[in-house]
Amino acid sequence: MAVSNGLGDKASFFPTMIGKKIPEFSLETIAGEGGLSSAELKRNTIVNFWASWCTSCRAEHAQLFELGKKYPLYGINSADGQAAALSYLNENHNPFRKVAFDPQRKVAIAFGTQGLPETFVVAKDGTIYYHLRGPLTQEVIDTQIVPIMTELEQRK
Amino acid sequence: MGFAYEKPLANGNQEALAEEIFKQVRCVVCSGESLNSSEADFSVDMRAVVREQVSKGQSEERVLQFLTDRYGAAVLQAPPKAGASLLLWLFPMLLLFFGAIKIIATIRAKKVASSGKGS
Repeated sequence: MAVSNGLGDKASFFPTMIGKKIPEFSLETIAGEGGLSSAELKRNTIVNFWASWCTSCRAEHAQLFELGKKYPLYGINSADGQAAALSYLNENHNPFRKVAFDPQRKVAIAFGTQGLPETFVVAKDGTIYYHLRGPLTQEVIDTQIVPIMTELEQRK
Repeated sequence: MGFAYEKPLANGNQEALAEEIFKQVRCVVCSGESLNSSEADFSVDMRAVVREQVSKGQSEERVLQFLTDRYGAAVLQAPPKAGASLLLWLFPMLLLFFGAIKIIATIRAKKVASSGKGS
């Protein structure tokens, strides 16, 4: 299911999680890298929800690589099969530090996502400083994510 | 309600509460369907989240709060009857009320005017 970018009710499309805390969770990772818990995300990180069947997710892959080089980038594979997800990462290479497995969207819903892809910037206290519904664009990275991450990293 | 492979809660009362909640929530990936009737994949998962919370003893209010915290008030089928949203409900009623008064007053004024001219 593609992200509801441009479709449907704008009000429900509004990124509602900015300023709120990420949910507490603990998930398995898809490539045996140990688990991923919310504690690990509370370190000025970027969290990206994606799936192998999501065409908009493919569109943002280059941007994900760019982010992954600069910042701690975590992936949460949502509503997907483990084999399909691994196959996608092999084919397109893996920009994520870790990829958590969330097949029933439990964590995706706890994060307030309603489609894919969605990207969050998470500060050390667990507050969400940025929430994007839809694929990353160069403009979003340059004008939103980089300035926010720069400021967060300057804080102690 | 829902797919054959969706598991209703074992506790009948809890499942009924869950269904009550589904009816009040919008499907976030549909146009105008409730969470109760949506067959979307996303809705199956959202119903599972609601059921899990209900099975842990969360009240209807708490579960709806959980969802509105994440998706905004727009996730509810009906706007909440509280605070600023109260105006949404009151305003049309007030309009009708004052409109009716205006109409009656206008009719009366015309009757007075026409009876005045007629005599």
